Amino acid sequence: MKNSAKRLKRPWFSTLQLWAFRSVFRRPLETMLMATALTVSITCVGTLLLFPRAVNDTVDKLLEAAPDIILRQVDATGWKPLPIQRAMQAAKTVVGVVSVRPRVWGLVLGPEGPLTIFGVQQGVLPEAYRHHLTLSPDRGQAIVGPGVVSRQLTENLQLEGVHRDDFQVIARLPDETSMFTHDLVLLNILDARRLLGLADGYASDLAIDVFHESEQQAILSDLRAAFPWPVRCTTKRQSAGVYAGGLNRIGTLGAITVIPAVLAVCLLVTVSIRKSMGRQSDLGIMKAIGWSTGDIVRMRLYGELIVCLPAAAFGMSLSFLLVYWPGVNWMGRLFFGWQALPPILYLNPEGAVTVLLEVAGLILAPLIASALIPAVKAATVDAYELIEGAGGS
Amino acid sequence: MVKNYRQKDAEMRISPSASRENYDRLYPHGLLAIVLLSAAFVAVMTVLSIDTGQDSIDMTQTVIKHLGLSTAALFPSGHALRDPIYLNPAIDLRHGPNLPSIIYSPEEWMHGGFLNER
Repeated sequence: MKNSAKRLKRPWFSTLQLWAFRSVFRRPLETMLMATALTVSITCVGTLLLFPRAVNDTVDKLLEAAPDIILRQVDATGWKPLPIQRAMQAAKTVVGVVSVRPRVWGLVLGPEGPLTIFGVQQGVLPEAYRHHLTLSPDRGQAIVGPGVVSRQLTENLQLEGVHRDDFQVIARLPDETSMFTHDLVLLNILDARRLLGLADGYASDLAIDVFHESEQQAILSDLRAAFPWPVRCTTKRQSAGVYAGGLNRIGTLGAITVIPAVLAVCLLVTVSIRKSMGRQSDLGIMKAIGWSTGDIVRMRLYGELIVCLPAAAFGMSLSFLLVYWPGVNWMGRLFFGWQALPPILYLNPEGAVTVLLEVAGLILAPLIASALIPAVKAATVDAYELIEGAGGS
Repeated sequence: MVKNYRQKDAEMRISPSASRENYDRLYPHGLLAIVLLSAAFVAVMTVLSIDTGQDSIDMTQTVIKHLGLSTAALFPSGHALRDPIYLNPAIDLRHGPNLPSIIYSPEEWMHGGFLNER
């Protein structure tokens, strides 16, 4: 009894699915080519659409930790140093300002091009890099970002601003922070002042934090009015908007390169339709031996899914891998204008699956439909006509 | 079980061609392997990337917060898109060492405008 029950137990796959498997593998080369074309199309489209979005989302998330407002003094020649004491007093009179920090930073020439230097106070660094660095830069020492030098840490770094100075590189910032520190050089604040030509008591700008995010925009007019000289304020939201705009341009470039991929999908659909129409005699034979239209449609569907689903899975995985693999940097050279070492990206994968599923659906849907439509159209046609029609053509 | 189905399948053949016999077989195990490998690949990559991504974001946010950084280093230093404040319609605030300077002033010393004399 048990044996007969075992014999009657149906497997999880149906005969129809096995028949579809066999039908697909009767033309292995054709199947492989179709799967490869699909994988490449999904990988290209997915990567180009995913990359700008991933960078934008990650920068947005990282900017949450940035100061709410950056305030700089400007005049007709451009950026002007701020007197720290007077500027801080003025900023603190504005209701809603929680903290004000002067920053000393600017651009200098490094060995391989312009670099951003940042003056740090003693004692700030050990807290910031508690688990990564235990040193803070003393006079004549530098901590460099991942993209500054690829040489040994003991080598000197020559920086040229108002003066030309050599600095001993004592540590390298973690690769994981590259999106904000890639070409950053942390110096002792006195060295930074000397390189930038800033007098004591002056700073490059002020980093201001407000009590609530919604106050960023609201207190700008009060802030400007509180200073006796012209200032320019940039809020965190404005920064995020500018980055989003820049990345949108990259996204548009990506969309343009997607056009050939869409053409490739159109070609695949055409091939699929021609293939299905060319096998009308198969449909006729199936109908003649008693297959229902439902059976034929299901078999076609299984046949397409056997090829399309693994191809889509591989294509989506490759896209995901190319964009989100920890430490990926090849896109930086392509899109961000880096000539030498592009920034190392560690991107936030939230929402990636939705985009990839949309891309896969967009490419797979017409392909599967193109295989099914001839079978559905043949539902009302006589089996003899299908066989004869194929023979006639 | 698969064997039974193969047998039934073989019975349903109308006119098997001798030349196609090599291809006219079922490969359920191979297909299952393809599907399972694909699924495993996607799952492993997802878990790996999510885990690493969150760690690096936390670390970078700590650095940004303590140093007071406000600009992402996506574009090279001095690039117009590096710092949002550079995009001023009236005044060129890029401070790039390779940009031509208009006036030689202490303000330019700070941003490195004098370096274009090199």
